This record gives sequence, structure tokens and C-alpha cells, in this order.
Amino acid sequence: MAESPRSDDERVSPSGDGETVAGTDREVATDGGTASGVDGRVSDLTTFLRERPRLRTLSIAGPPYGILLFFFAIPLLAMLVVSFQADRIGGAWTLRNYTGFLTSETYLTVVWRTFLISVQVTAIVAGVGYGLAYSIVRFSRRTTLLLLLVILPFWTSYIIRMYAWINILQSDGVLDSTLNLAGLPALSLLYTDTAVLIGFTYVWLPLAVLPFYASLTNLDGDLIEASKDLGAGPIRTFLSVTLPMTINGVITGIVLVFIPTFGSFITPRLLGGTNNIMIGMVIENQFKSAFNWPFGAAIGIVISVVVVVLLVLATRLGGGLFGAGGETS
Amino acid sequence: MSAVDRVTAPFERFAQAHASRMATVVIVAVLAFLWLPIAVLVFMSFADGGVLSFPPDQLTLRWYRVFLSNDAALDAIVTTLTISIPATGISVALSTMIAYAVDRYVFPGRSWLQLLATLPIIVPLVVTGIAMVLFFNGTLGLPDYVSVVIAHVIRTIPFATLVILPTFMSFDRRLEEASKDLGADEFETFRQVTLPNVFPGIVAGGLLAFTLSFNEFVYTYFVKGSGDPTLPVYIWNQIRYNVTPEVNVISVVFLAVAVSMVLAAVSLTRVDLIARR
Amino acid sequence: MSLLRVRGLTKEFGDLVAVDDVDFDVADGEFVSILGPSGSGKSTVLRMVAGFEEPTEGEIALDDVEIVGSPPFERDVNMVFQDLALFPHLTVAENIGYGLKQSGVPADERRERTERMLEMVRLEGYGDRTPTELSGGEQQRVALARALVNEPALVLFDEPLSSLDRKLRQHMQSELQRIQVETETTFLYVTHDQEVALAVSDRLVVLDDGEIQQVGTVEELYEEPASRFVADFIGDVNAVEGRVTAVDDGTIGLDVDGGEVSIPRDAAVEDLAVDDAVDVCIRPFQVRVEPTDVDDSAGDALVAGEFSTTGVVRSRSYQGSDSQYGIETDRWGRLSAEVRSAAFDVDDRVTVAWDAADVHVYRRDGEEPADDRDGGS
Repeated sequence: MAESPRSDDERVSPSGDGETVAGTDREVATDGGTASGVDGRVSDLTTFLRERPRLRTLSIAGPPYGILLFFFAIPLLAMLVVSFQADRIGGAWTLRNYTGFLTSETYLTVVWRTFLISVQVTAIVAGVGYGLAYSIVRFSRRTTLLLLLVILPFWTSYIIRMYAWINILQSDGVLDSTLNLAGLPALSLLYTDTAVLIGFTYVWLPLAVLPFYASLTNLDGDLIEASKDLGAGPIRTFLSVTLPMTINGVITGIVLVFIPTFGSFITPRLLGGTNNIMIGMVIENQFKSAFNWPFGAAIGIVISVVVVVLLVLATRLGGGLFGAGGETS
Repeated sequence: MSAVDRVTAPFERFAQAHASRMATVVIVAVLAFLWLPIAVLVFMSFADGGVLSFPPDQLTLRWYRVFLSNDAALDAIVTTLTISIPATGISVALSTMIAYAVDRYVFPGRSWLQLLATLPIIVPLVVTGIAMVLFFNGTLGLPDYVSVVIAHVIRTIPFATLVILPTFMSFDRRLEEASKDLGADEFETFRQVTLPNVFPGIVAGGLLAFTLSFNEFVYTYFVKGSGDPTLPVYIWNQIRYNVTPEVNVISVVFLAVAVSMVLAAVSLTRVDLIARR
Repeated sequence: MSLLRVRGLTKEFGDLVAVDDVDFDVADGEFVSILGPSGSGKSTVLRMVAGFEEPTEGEIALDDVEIVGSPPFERDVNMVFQDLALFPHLTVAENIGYGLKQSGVPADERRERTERMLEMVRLEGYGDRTPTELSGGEQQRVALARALVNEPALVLFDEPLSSLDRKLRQHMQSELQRIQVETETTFLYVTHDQEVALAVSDRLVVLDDGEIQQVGTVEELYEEPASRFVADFIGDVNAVEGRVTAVDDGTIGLDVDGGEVSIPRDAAVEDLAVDDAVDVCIRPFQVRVEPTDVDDSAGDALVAGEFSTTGVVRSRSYQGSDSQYGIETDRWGRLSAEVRSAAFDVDDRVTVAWDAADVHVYRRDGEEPADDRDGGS
């Protein structure tokens, strides 16, 4: 048999004749002598790691794992710890932060208000977003372009998007001026709950369309035609086929809108009135003006509890929130 | 035909007949809702009279000149870039490692890694933001700059991973087998076959990470002390305390950055990668 | 001299035994196919030879050197992948030159050898294109060239032709044979498609359920199948259920569909006992059909080494030069016959005949000996 063209090449280690796996560390070291420079050392390292699959996995998964644990998970745990301390980090252990919060009618009203606004925003965004995703998937041929036009605003600055609405909604702003030109009375919507709802709808709509779009794309169009063929009209088909089959996407969208709304402070701060406080703003106050960090941490924990409850509910209902990456929504 | 059917039938027929037209109305209306405010913003950046007069008396480039001679705003851009560029690099490297590990290896804690890389999207920004200021500044006493870069890395990892992981998963691994079969070892295979094929996805992830980091406000707002503000923090202060027409110009800058980055990312991958979730 | 020697090769995936104690050899310059249905473990065998899977047990020797444990890139073996796995980011020439580059062949020699290979597979002038610009057949040629240019001891094929349409596949088959002869290389080809395997191979290894069923030349497998599975898998076969009624020195008595027949003892490849359930197998092309007007239901006789019976034509279909008839026979159940004549119509009465030497009898798969079953009822 003809000799392998590889075996007379020096870059391939002596084990190129197929006799052994380039086995022990000692062999690796001697290989390095014949190999040329950096490439040789790198291929030694590859060989070294090939025989230690655990070390190889650790060297790749370890750094990101460690960083996410240390700089994301641990801070959240630290927040839990601080929330039981009085007045400052390292203060005496206390439950006062929680009892103070949970017995204050003012704060509970704020939580309830935040909850109501979040529910309204979620309902509006889910309705409009689903309608949009459905219209794009089922009735448009230029889906890529449309989808791009929907997500692009999402990638611009949140504050800028709020600021755009200040331009429009303020008294004598774009909206009022336009109404004025048409002979209609001014609305002066800025600093009202309506402004807050518009602002939230504006920022979350692109985000919610994505899971809706993904689940609707995955829906087999033949099912809809089969349903119509079997005598169901488009409305009944939608209610009995389309909606149930895309419910996971709907739940994912709802979670993606509700949670950040519940924790938000930018939108109510910029568009809402001074007496329309949301819970996120209370936290901001503790860190930016009142400087009672442990109390802020306790409120952070309260928000987290709401979030966790919601996530558990959503997972029970079948939202694929943690099916990261490969699967759609 | 049941009584219910008799009632619903006209609606069903209407829906069937006009579905396409209704869809067009929805699409046009929502896109107008999404883009009109941005159009107004761009338009107002050329308005002569400043923030409070609409429609403007005349158009001008004055506010652009004001912006370009405003050192505070330009410094804010530089501050943002000195944070965003390293943060993007680190985030892309870590996200690539996450994608590679999750795609290739089965190891204990693999699903936890995936969860950890997704959670920063889900936990409200204000919660993570205060947790970071408590831990980075309060407990560890890290310098401001380091804290902010780390915060930006954490903020961008989920999005970069969201783009990079599918790129790895859709990469045909038989190409790697073919490469090894033809005599290339693991490292050479990664360098000559895997990397060229997943590179567009990694770059797209990087572009999106950069965009996100350039826009990042909440974490920065909490973690960063009173030093030089990043551009989003600068604009926040402007809006809250003294709105000038210059803010419109800065908005256009943000818009230009976002649009060019996202379009570049989209041209590198498919739009549905970014559309996922 | 055997170039590739496989002994006791076993691969378990958890509880699943994908490959079970497989032995075979491939001689230098031979074209051997591993043939089996999907899930038979044939691709796993190939992947163990290539080095992508580690065997649970067993030996694989190439040129008398054990290669188990050495990584794929150190084995003097190259593979043509099922989906070809051409590098999409490289040109055709870069694809072909990839292996040479890995082994450090200088650029100009690489170019020259790549050119020669492009000529060999008749793709001169295609070097600068990318794989996606080529047709399916052209891509096959690139994949083949990419494997051959390294002058490996052995080229492995993982069903690369299965995605081509029939005409192109037949063309590529003859190209494969031409190139194999020209390059004097040894080919090990895995496929589920018996047509391809029969057309190109010197020898076949038939695999089912991870176990070797038979190893032999095409003629051996076709004419002396070692099991009902092989008979079924290589070509078409009529299988008539029967039961052994008597065994003596020269003949076996069988109860077939209510009638009694006796066949030569050597028609059975294994020892049979009275009451064993069996399949009596006969190839359709070995069945002769003649016109008759006799109602000869009693005439199932073995006369001068030939069976004959009468029956009625129930179906017919043209298959190019041959016609295939489905015939309801009086004694042997429904048989299919492939003959040149197109002279018979549905409902015609015919005489059907075949040589006793062409009959093969196998014990039915998975059935317990008859007395056990009787004891249970």
C-alpha cells in the first residue's frame, strides 16, 4: 500500500502513522520539539485537552459560568441579605424594611397601582402585538422587511423613545398643535396615566411581536385551511385552532411585557404625573435621593417575588421562556 | 344551522371577505405608531424655534452645530465608547464560549448555564441594577469604570448569546468531521472551518451587544457614581432638568447608531435570528 | 493481503447494541459494500473505521496496524460524507486542497495535485467556484476528489449517492468504478440501496440489526442467500409459508398451503425438524410461466428436479423488457413471476414451474419450535 502523504510531513506528530494516540504528557512534550512554533504549541494544547474532556469543557464553560454567577447571581443574593439590614449595608439585622413596606398604605397603594398599569399595558400590547404579528404572518409577503421595521425601534435608546413622546404629548406639542390646526381642542396628555400607557405600549410592542411572530410562523398554515374546509369560519378557526396552538408564544410575550413594566421607573418618571408613582420609582428614590439602600433592596426583593410567581405561573401554563436558543419561543 | 351559527355567520363571512384588507390596516397603523414619533424627532432636530414650537417657523442646522461644539455631550459619547467597546468584546467572547459549550458538551449544570445566560433579560433592570450597586460598590468596592463595564457585559450577554447560539446550532457539524477526516486536528478545524462559518453570527451578536451597551441606561444609572456620564445618562439629565433642542440632535445620533448596527447585523445573519423570542 | 481487518467490532449506545461482534476484511484494491436497512448499524461501522466513534469492543486494523483510539485526523482513511459536507466558505479547489494543506504540502504542489484531481473527476475549470454553485452530481465529484487527493489507503463512502435521482446515480456508479480502477484505491461503501451495492461492489457485507448476515460476492448472495433476510434484501423473493412434515436423508417433506410437497434436503441452509415453521423462497425471475388448459390441482409434483403447479393470473405489470405476474396457484399460494413474455392476461390459467435447485428454505424468524407452541394451547 502506498504510504500516507501525511506521514512524511513533519507537522503531523509521530503518532500520524496511526500506531497510537499521542498519549501521555511526555509524548506531547516531545512532539512539541518537531512542531513549528505557536501552531505546534497550540496543537499540543489541543491534544492535551482532547484526552481530558472534563478539563476541556471546564475551560470553555467555566469562565462565562463563573462571571454570570459572581457578577449576576451573587449580587442578587447579596441584595437579599442587605434587605434584612437596618439603614445601611452591614447594619443590624432587622425585618423592619419589610414590615415597614408591607404595613404602609402608601406603598401598598403604589404596588397595586403598578400592578394595574402593568395589566393594562400587557393587555394592550398583547392585543395589538398579536394582531400585528398575525397580519404580517398570514397576509403579507414582505415579512422580513416588516419584521425589521417593527424591531428597529426596539434597538434605539429607551430614553430617546420616551423623549420622542414628550415632544408629541406635551401641551402645545406636536399632537396638540396638530389638533389645533384641525380646529380641535388640545389634550395636554403629558404627565397623565394615558401618557404612561402610550409610552409603555410604544416600548414593549416590538418586544412582544417577536414571540407572537415566532409561534405564528411555526403554525402550519394547512391546519387553518383544514379548519375552514371542515366548516369553521375565520373567527371560529382563530379561536379554536390558531390561538390555542400559539398560546406558548402568547404567554412568553405577556411575561416579556409584564415583568419590565412592573419594575419600570423611566416611563412614569418622564411621562407620568408627580402623583402617579410606580414601585420602580420608589426604589430609584431610595438609591438616588433617600439613600436607604437596605429599604430599596427590600422593595427589590418584593418585585422579585412578584416576578418569580408570575414566571412559575407562566411555566405551568406552558410558556417556553427558558427554552433558550435552539427552540423558537 | 344552530342559533349561534346564525348570529355569527355574517361576522364570519365579513372576516373571510375582508381579512386581507383589515390586516393591511393593522400593519400600516402600527408601523405609523412606531415610526411617527421617530420621524417627529428627526424633523424637530432641524426646527429653528427649539423644543416648544410646532410646527417650526423654519428649518436649520443650528442645533447640530451646537451639539458639535458642546464638549459635555461629546465627552459623554467618548465615555460611552470607552465602556461599550471593551464590554462588547468581553460579552462576545463569553457568549461564544457559552454557545460553544451548550451546543457541544453535555455537562452537569448545562441547563443552569443557559438559564443564567437568559435571566438578565427577565429580572427587571432596576432590580439587577440595585443588586449590582450594592455588591460592586457596597461590598466589593470596585472602581466605577470596572463596575460599569461588568454591568454592561451582564446586560449584553443574553442578547449576544441569543444570536450566537443558534448560529452554532445551525452549523453543520459534519463539516468538522470532514475537516478532521482530512487531517486537521481540533484547533485547526475550529480555526479553518468552524470559525469562518459561525463568524457572521458572532459579528452580528457583537453589533447587537454594542448597540445595547451604547444605549444602556438603567444599570449604568445605578452603578456609575457621579463621574462622567455616559450619553444615555447625559441625555436623561438633560430631559429631566433642562431640555434643550440639542436633545433632538443627540436622539438622531442614537437613532443612526442603532439603525446602522442592526442593519449590519441583519445583513450578516437572518432577521429571524434576532427576531427569536 | 487484507488492507482493513475488522474483528469483534461492537458498539453500544447505552443499552442499545448498534453493532454486534462484526468481523470482515477488505482486501487491497477491493470495492466492498456494507449493505443493510436503516438502523442496521452500517454507518456506525463506517464511523468507527473513520475514527468518529470509539468501539465499545473489538479491533480495527489498517495495513496490520491497530487504529482504534487514534483520532480521525491521524488515520490514513478519507470519507465521502452522506451529505458531502463540502466547506461552504471555501472554493472547490480549496475544498479539494484542504487535506493536502493540513499535511503541509507546499502550495504549488497542492495546486498541481488539485488540478489533476479535478481532471480525474472531470471538473476541469471548476476550481474557483464555490460548492453551492454546483449541481448535485458535480458536488459528488468534488467530495470524491477531496477524499482521493490525499491518496488514502482506504476511501469510505457513507451513502453519498442516495440524494441523487436514479439516472444520475447510475451514472455516478459507473464513474465511481472507473475512478476506483484508475486510482487503484480501496473503497468501502455503505448503503441501504441494494441496486447501488450490487452494481458497484466486488463483495458485499450484509448487516441487519448490528449483526453480519452474510459476506460474499454478489453472485453468492443472490444465489445462495444465507438467510431469509438476505434473500429478501438482495432482490425480490417469493416466500411461501410452510411446515415441515418429514425429514429424511435426501428430502424434506413440507405442508405448503394445504398441499404436500417435498424438496431436496440441501435447499435448507440450517437443520430442520418436523413441525418447524418455514419459509420456502423462490426468486420471481426463476419462475417460468406457460399456458395451460388443464385443471391440474393434483399435479404438484417434483418431476425431474422441477416443480410445477397450475394457477390463475391475478395481476400483471410491465417492467420494461419483463412482465411481472401475480399468480394464485393451486398449491403454493400467491407467487410472483418475472418473465419475458407479455402474453398472459388477468384470469388466464397457466402452468407455473421452477427448478427445485433454486428453492431455499429458512426457519421462520422469531418463531419457537412447533411443539412448544402446541404445549401452550
